[in-house]
Amino acid sequence: MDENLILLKKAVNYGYRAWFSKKTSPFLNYSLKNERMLTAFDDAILEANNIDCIWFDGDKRMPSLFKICKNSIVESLFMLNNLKELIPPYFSKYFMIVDDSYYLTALSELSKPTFCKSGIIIIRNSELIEADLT
Amino acid sequence: MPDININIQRRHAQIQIALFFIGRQLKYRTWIAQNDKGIIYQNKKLGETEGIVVSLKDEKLLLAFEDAMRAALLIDCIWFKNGKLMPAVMEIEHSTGVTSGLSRMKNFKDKFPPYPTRYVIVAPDEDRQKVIKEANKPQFHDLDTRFFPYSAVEELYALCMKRKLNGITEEFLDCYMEPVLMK
Repeated sequence: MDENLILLKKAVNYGYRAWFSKKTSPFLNYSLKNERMLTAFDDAILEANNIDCIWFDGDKRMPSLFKICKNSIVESLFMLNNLKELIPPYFSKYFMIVDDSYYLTALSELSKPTFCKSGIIIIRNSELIEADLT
Repeated sequence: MPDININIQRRHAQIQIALFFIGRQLKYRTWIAQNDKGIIYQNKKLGETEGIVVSLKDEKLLLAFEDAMRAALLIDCIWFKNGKLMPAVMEIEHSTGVTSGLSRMKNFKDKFPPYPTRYVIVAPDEDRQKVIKEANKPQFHDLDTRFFPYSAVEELYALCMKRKLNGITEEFLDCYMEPVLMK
């Protein structure tokens, strides 16, 4: 199943709203300016277009943010990490979803000095349906 | 606190000013309670001093949360950093009940998204037991309150003034603010 569809279904199950970037899903995209937690952070709103999905719970929780890694692992890590640095440290989790065959490479990159303190969590594509993403 | 040469009587205001100077040394912007902005320090209103947050609307972090902003108006001191961080929310309890300060911080916390900060009661050293007792009441548990005794404020203030502290991390504050929640 498509990762975005899984993220959407899981968000609905949890009772969350899911925002998807325009590149990911033009139909489920809306302006993050309407999200209270981000509305004051224009730079973060801009950077969010480089990731795929953000979950919101009411207007005071942003439980999880997701980047689906389609190309370069390092580039994807940078995109997620750049966004993390622009958002206040709400208690959010940052996930990068990778194809199973790239899982170890992704872990290896994550352990390097640039990202080792980022707190990013790598999720295998195959475990996405079962994973606790909150 | 002989090094704070101010012409004020109230210990509360003296501690508030010390917190401002500590914050300034640590490169924080300091919010002082709306009703205390008129305190005169060195012939100038405290609210007009550089490093003081003039309006909470200037802090991006609170901008979207008007109800939290309103709740913060009367909080004695809040430190902000880099537009995204809020290292501490503090209530000074000098000769007043500790409960009012805790209630004020709790009201603010409930109106703001869950966020990593320190909720701190600043009080005379001899009030430690009172702070521990009140902060452990069930309604205040989630504040995970810290106690910042006057002696520690004075010590940190003196260190800031004398040694011009620089390059230290925010966690350094934890050496001065005692967690009082019994877990």
